[in-house]
Amino acid sequence: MSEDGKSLVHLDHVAKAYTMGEVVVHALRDVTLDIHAGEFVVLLGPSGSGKTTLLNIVGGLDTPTSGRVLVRGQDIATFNETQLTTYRRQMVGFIFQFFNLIPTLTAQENVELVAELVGKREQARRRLEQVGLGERAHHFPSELSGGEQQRVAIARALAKEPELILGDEPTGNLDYETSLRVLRALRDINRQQHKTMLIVTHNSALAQMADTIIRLRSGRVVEVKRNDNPLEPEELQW
Amino acid sequence: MTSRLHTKLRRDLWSSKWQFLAVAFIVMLGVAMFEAGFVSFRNMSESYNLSYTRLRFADFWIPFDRAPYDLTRRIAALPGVDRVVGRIVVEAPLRLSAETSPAAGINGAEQEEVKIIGRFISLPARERAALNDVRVVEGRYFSPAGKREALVEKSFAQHHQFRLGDTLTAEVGSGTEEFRIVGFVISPEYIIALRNEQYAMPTPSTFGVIFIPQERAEDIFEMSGQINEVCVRVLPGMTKSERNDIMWQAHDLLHPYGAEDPVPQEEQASNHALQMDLKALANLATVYPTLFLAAAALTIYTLLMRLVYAQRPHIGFLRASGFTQGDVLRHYLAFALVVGITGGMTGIALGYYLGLVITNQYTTTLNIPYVATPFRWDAVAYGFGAAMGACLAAGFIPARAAGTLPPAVAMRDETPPVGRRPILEWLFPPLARLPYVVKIPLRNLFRAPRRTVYTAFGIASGVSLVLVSAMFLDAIDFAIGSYFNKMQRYDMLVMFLPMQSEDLAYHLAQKPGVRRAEAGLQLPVEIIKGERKFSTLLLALPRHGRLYRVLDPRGEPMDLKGDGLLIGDLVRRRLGVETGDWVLLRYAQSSDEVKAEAWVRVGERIQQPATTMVYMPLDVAQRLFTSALDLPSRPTTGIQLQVEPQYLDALKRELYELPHAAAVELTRDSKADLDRMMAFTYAFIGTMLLFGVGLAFAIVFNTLSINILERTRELAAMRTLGLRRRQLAAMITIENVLTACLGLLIGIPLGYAECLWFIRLYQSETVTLELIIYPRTYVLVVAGTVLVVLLSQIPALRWINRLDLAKATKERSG
Repeated sequence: MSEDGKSLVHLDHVAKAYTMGEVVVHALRDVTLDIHAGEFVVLLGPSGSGKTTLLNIVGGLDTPTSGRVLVRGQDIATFNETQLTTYRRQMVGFIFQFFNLIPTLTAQENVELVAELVGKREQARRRLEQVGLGERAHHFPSELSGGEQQRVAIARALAKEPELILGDEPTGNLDYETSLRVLRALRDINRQQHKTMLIVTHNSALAQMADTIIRLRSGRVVEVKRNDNPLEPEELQW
Repeated sequence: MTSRLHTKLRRDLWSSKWQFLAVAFIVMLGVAMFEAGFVSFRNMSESYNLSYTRLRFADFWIPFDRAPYDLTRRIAALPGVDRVVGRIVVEAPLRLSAETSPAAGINGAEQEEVKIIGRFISLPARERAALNDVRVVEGRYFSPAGKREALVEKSFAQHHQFRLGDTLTAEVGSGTEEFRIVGFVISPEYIIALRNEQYAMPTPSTFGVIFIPQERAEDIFEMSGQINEVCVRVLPGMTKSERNDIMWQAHDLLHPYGAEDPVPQEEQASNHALQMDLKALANLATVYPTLFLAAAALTIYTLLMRLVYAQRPHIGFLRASGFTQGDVLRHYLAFALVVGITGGMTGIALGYYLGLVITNQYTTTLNIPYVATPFRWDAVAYGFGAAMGACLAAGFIPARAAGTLPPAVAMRDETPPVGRRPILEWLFPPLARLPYVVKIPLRNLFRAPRRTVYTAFGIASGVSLVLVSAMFLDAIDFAIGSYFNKMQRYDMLVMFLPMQSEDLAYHLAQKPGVRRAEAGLQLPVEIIKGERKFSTLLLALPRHGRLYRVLDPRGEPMDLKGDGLLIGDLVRRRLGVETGDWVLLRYAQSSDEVKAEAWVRVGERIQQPATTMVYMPLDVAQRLFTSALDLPSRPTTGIQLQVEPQYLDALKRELYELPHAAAVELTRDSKADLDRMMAFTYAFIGTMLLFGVGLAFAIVFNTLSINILERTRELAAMRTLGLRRRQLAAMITIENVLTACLGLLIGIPLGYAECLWFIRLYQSETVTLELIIYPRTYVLVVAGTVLVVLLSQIPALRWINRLDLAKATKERSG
């Protein structure tokens, strides 16, 4: 458990700076926040506000320049490469804006690729059925629509049965209708399987379906807001 | 690695199959060359050793005038001597009628008779020789009572199409002696049937080896109880210097009998030539494969780097999902592994087959008594090891880059490289005003300098290999062309045994059809300068002769002036001599009793296109050697004739009737012989040339395809901005042709340097090739490279034309 005893994830004075070409970018500055187990958290902010960096740090893809990142009481900021890999393998499922499906594998094979890591290959098909893609299991990504591809990505993220699902602009590349279907899938997983969701987006409409909304600006947390009456995805408008 | 990663590997390989096949093809060529060279090298060297062991090849030979047979006991008593064989070796004209030699009647004359130089070597009739035995390949060995029997060396027999039972007639003294052929044999001393070390190639049309029973040799050569050569084997395990000590002790014992310089095993003509061949094969097995595998490694590196770059998002995802660095590294290394296995296995199969073809070619061309061709697992292992080593080493860097790529970085788009005005535009400001269709390709070359350099080096390595093969073709063509067009201008050469007076030339000039006749003197000699010694043939020619011309450094025929010895560059280098230096010129069969040597000055430089022969004016050679060798006045070994074509055959028949005419050689036939012998060489070089072109194509195809595919988004963006397909194709073509030019700029000097290295490698004691590359070759190489570039970019251009612009501009390139 983290600092307050209830958080799944606790960020404590986290900062991150990196160089891009010839420029030093301060992506996060003194970020402290909590994410509770089973919450649907939406991280809002304009481009360059540090959303993805924060997501990557929580996901163990990146390490902070300073500060602590406690996940179930363990500071993953101090983890070495092997420990981080194990952490990602056991704790985290990722969903990306551009899906990042392997184009040379079918939908089912994409899910199996990840499921194999935790010895649950046989569940791949069921995961696809959960996102409504049982019929499309043997299609290659290029034969699927954007929404279908993202749902494959969700099934893939679920395949390891992680506690924490991280989404980086999961609807950023999708039209409205398709986005709603993807959001519905995410909401169902959150509610039915009690998975903790941390979704990064610059679409403020999505905040209305979150339990907690975190706003970032220039690498700083400017607002953490509880939403006691989250909307259903179909009620969202943008 | 998990099984779905295998699926990804398999499908990724399939989706870039042409690129991976191209690299596997290069690996295959490299491994095939290694395998072919290694297998044939091992087959040949083992075959020689096996033959030498089974037939008890001697460690050294000492020829001398004549000595009692009992002398062999004294040599055998020397400490360290294992075995000694005394024998008679005599050269005498051999008369072949069309009946015995159908080859003699090839030109249509029914009863044509030819004369050649026969070397008669005695062998014991009742037992097998303790050293330098022969292997009977057809017929049988001597019968104990068969005094008139003869065994004929196989290549000589084949050339003249002898049959068992045929009769050979030798001119001995003033009479003739007849022998019945009872067997065809192979001798370890004549695996390459060279007359002596000074000859570059076998001459079965003018020289042959015949083995006769010891007693008969003693009778006909009037050497009863005598011998004129000993062959000696020392005890096993002796060092070369210990052997040499024994050799010179034996020489001391033979000193009173006119001992000539001893011939150690490594200088024995056939063995020496075989060792030179082996050296060439060993080079083939190392140098070329190294070049090919280096090129393959470079291409694999480029290909995998591109793959890793294109799959950065996938790598990011794999790492984000919990795949370890090792999983990812092994996944990308597996691409190199597959290329290595595919190229290695096919290369081994092809190379092994080529190795057997080369072995077979050798065994049919040469007379190897025992051939050893066991299956060579070591060749397979080394070939496979070389393929895997090159591929895995090349693949490791990109694979490691993939494995260690931080997942967060992998999922970010790479920061575009900093744009700069290329240095060329600073140096030549007008370049900046060029139209964009030219300026963009130009800037692209400087934008990713590493990629440009890789591509240029890829092209350069292909160009250099093509240039090396083409150089060999040019050098051989030039050597043969110069030799027959400028130097050897006679149509016919009549050789005498023993030497005759050059007055015969005046007599022959009167014959019908003869336009010109000139005498020459050809002697095996050693040129000595300090510690260095070079064995070759001296050809002494008339000062103003027209039928055999020496060439000046510009390649123009020159008259022989002064008293100097004219030496080509290769021999000059070997001896470390320059014009004006004094060297000791010694008749190669000199003995202490018959000392034929003289100090001569090195004359002006000459161009020597093929052989290592040295030259001097005829009168000087006659002055130096006539009395020392007890030769007739103004001696000649042969007379060169320029003859009206229609008189050639009739004159040839007539010349055989001349007393002491030992052989008549027609330039027309020599050329045909040479062409036959060169066929294998041409086929070999042609194969190398094809390999070089294949390599160039594979490299260029791959690097250019990669360069284009890497920039999909950029190219698609240009299309969406309104550039026509044709304009885009023009820009890509300009960029590729510019890269090709850069490759040529590197490749031609690189190839030239390789040519220099190779030509030194292939220069032997008897054959010299000059580095000649015709201007047309350069033109062809440049045009060919540009053509290969244009052809190999076609698939990539077609791919660009079919691009889904909306998709390509939105997604990350790759």
